[in-house]
Amino acid sequence: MASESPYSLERFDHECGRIFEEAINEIYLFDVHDRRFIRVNRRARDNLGYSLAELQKRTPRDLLANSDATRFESTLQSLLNREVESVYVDTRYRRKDGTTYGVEGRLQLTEFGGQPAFVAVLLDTTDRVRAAGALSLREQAIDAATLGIVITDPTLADNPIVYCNRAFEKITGYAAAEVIGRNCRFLQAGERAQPGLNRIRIAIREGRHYRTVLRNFRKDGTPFWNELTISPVRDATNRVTNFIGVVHDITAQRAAEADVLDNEARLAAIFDAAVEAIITINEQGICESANPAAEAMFGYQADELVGQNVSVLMPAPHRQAHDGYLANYLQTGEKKIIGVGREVVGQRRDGSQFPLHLSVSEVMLGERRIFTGIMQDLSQRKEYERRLVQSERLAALGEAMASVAHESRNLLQKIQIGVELCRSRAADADGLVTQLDKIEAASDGLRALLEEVREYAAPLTITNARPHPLGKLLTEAWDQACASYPAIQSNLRLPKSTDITLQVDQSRMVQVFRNLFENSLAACPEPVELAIGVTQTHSSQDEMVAITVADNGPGLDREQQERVFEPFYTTKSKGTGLGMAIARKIVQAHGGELSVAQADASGAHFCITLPR
Amino acid sequence: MGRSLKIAIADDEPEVRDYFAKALASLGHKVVVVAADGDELINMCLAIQPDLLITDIRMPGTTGIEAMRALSTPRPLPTILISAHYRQEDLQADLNDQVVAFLAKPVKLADLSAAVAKATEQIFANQAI
Repeated sequence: MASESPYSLERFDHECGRIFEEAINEIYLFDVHDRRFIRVNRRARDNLGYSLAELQKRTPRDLLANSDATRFESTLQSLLNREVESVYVDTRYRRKDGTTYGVEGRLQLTEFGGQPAFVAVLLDTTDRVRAAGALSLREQAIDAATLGIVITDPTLADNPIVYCNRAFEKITGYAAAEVIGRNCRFLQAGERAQPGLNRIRIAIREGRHYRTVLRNFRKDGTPFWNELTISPVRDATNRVTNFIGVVHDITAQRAAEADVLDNEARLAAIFDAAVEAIITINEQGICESANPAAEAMFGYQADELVGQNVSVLMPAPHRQAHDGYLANYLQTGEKKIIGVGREVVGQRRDGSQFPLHLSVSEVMLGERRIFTGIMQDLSQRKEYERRLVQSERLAALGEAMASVAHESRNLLQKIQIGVELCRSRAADADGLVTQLDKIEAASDGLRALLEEVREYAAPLTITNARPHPLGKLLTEAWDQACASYPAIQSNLRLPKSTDITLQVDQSRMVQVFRNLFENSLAACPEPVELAIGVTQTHSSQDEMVAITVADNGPGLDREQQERVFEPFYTTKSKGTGLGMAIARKIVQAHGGELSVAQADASGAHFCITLPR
Repeated sequence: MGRSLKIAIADDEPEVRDYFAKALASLGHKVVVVAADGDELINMCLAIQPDLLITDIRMPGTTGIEAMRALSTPRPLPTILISAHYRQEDLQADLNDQVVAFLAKPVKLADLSAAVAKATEQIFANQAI
C-alpha cells in the first residue's frame, strides 16, 4: 500500500530534494568540521551569484558582510555542544558582485549522509524592510501633514473618531486621546444651524464625497474656518467602513480675502469721494468707469460714459485723433502723456470747453491693460492766474502812473504859468482870454484825471484813522459835492441815527461819500433827494455799521450794477470812471465793503459797511 | 496890501520859482530867497530870516519838508508846501500847525495869492500878540 501511495517514503526523499531546491527560503547546508558548504539551494545561489561549485569551496564566514566571525564561531559551538537547539540569525551577506543584503532565519544542527552538518534556513529581508519602511513613511506623511486628518467609523454607534493626526490636534487644540471615540460634532460647539452641516449629514448617510466650509471652534473657544472634505472608504463588498475627513484651516486665508475686500471698499470710497475726476478706459479708448467728480466735471452720468469712447470728452481735433494716439502708443510704446501730465482742453456735454490738467497712468490687470485719467478743472485756477496777472499789472501801472502824474503836474504847472502870463498881457484882445480860459480848463481836467488815476492805482493803506462823527463827514462831503454842481436843486436827509462816530481817515471817507453824492447829483432829476440810513449789525466777529445812500434817480440797471465798480466804467458824459472804484478801494482799505444794495426800489441804493 | 512879508521860495524848476517870485513881488511882498533845492534854501536863509517859506516838497537832495524843519529853530517857520506828488493828508500831523497851506501842482496864481494872504493874516496876528 505504501509503495502504491504517491506519498511513499522513497518518493518523499526524492521530492524533498526538489522542494529544497525550489524553496522560497535560502537554505544552506554546511560541514561541521571545515564549515564548507555542502549544499546551497537555488534561491540562495541566485541571490548570491555563486555556483554550487564556487560555494563548496567557501564557508559561511566568507559570505558575512560584517566580520563578526568570532560571534559566528561561538554560535556554532553552542549548537555543537547542544546548549541550544537552534539560533536566530540576523546578519548581512555579501554577493559575488560585492553588494550586500540582509538575511534573517534560524540555524540548527542536523545530519547529512550520516555525518553531522549545520543547516540554515534564511529569508532575504530586503523586501520586507522596504515594505515596513514604506508603511511607516505613509504614516509619517499623514501625521506630518499640515492638513488635519480624522478617520471615523460609521459602523460603530454615532460614527466616532477612530484616528486623528497631529495637524488635527494642532488645528483644534484637542489631543487625540480627547477626541477618539467622540462624534465630530463637538467642533461645532453651539453653532448647529450652519448651512453646510445638513449637507454633510446627508453625504454621510449616502456615503458620498462632500466639501464645505464650516465655522468650527477650537478647544479654547476661538472660532476657525474649516474647509472640510469628507470621503468614504469602502471595503470589497462596497460597504462604507470609514470616513476620512480632511480639515483645512482657512481662517488666515479668509482674513486675507476680507482685507482685499476691505481694500476694494476703501478704493471705491476714495474713487467716489475724490475731488479730481477719475475715468478709466480700456485699450480701445472705451470708458470703463467714471467717478462722481468726473460726472460733475463733464455733465455726463457715469453710466452714460461707460461704454462710450473717451474722445467724446475732447474737442476737435483731439476727438477725431484720440484713437490714433492710443493705437500709436500701443504700437510704439512711446509715452506722450502717460506718467507726464499735461494741460489739455475738455469738452462738457453741453459743448462748452474748459482747461483741465490731465495725468494718465497705465495699469496692467492680468493680461488686460487699462488707463486711468485723473483730471483737475483748471478754469478757476486760470481765472485766479488771470486776476493775479491783472493785479500785478495794475500795481506796476500804479507805480508808473504815480511818476507820470508827478511829471505831468510839473508840466501842467508850466502850462498854468504860461496861461497866466499870457492872460496878464493879452488884455482881452480878440477873444484871446477866452481861449486861454479854455486852455486852463483843459489843464484842470487833466489834473483831475491824473489825481484820480493816481489814487486808484496807488496802493492804499489807512494810517491815520481817527474817530469822526458820521454826520459831519456826510455834511462835508455834501458841501463839496454841491459845490461841484452849484446849479442843481438838492436835499440831503440826515436821520438821527447818523449821530455816531466812525474810526476813519477823514478826507478819504469824505471822498467816498462825495463820489456817491456827485453821482446822484449828476444822474437824478431835480430836486435831487438823497436819503441816508444807518443800521448797526453784529457779525460773528465784529460789530459793523451799515450806511445806505439812496437817491431818487433812475437807479442802476443790471449791467450798471455789475460794472459800477469797474475802473473806467462810467455813464456820465464827463468823469474818469474811477470814482466808484476809488470809493470801494477806500472802504475796503478801512476793512469794510461798498456794494450796490437791492435795486427794487426806484433810485440808486448803495451800502457801505464799516467795522466800528 | 500894506502888510508885506519876507518870503523864501524854493523849487527845482527855474520857471516855476521865477514866476512865483515875480508874482509875489507884484503882490507887494519881498522875495528874499529864491533857491533851487533844499540845501541852497537852508544856506541862503542863514543870511536872512524870512517870514514865510514857500517850497516844493520833492527836490534833489534835501526835501522841502526837511529844509522847513531845519529852518524852524528856534521857532516854527510858517510854510506853504507845494507838491506835484503828495496830498496834504499824507503829511505828518505835527507839520499841520506851521503849514499854512498845501498847494498841489499845478498851482494857480489865485490859489497861491489866497494862501499867502492867509499866511499874512496869521503871521501878523501872531506878531500882534
